[in-house]
Amino acid sequence: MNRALQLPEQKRWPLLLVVLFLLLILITVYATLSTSAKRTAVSIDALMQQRVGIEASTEVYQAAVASAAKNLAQELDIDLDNYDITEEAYEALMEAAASKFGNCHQYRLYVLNSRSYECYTCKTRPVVTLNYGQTFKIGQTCATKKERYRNTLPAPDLFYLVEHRGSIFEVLVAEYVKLMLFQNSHERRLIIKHNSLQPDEMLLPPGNKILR
Amino acid sequence: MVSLFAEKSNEQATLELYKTIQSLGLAKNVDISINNTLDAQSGLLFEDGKLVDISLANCYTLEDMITELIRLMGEYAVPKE
Repeated sequence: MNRALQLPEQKRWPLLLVVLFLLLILITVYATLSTSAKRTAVSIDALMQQRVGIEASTEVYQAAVASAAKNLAQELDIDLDNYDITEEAYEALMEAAASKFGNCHQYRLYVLNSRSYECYTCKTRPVVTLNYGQTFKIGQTCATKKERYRNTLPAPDLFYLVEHRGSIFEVLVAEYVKLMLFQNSHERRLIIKHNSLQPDEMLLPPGNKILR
Repeated sequence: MVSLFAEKSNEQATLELYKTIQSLGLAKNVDISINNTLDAQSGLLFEDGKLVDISLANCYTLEDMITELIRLMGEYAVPKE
């Protein structure tokens, strides 16, 4: 062993203490940063839950926030690492989105009279019968109603109801949460039963094509 | 066909108006849209020179509809020479 690197016994302890002290500081900084990132992620889910105002599990909101971040980042050509959104990333997204999309809203197309409607996620039949008050479609847009549907809705006897107004991020979250809730809803089970569908089809309202 | 566009806040009023319009048995070759959403505006939609849709904004009663229709007539009517 190189004797030049060996320190006298009385100098080793202070050096060891200094190293331990530095390690302690590094661990503290890492723990603080890690907790802060987790708190931020939780607070955005909670913020969305508060703004959207729909009762759903934290897991649903987390999935909705991740999905909205992914869609919006792709739309705006922003690179978000793993779409794990932080407060800074959320603010950057909001700023970019506000200038590009302006005011947006999430809407639902309700059925006014019982009749047959096209069903895009049904496997055993192309159309289903929907009754008054049932959901034909859940969507969101940043265009005006006229730009989205001109003056005529996609099928007869429908009622376009604006359920939530807000930023593009908020309405994407609202749409996702409502589509997820529809999957386990009593309304969906009734439509499936009434139209003799299989339990694994029509996972979305009949007028919805995909879950983005 | 009657299309309805409404906010949560005026949903009931718009639905009531829908029931009234349905009971009138209007001509089927022209669509009517009642648009009670924020910042909506009334207007007429023509396709190939034919009127295909009358969009009426902020109408909650038959009286509102008549007022809007007369206003639209004044706006779109071109005097014949």
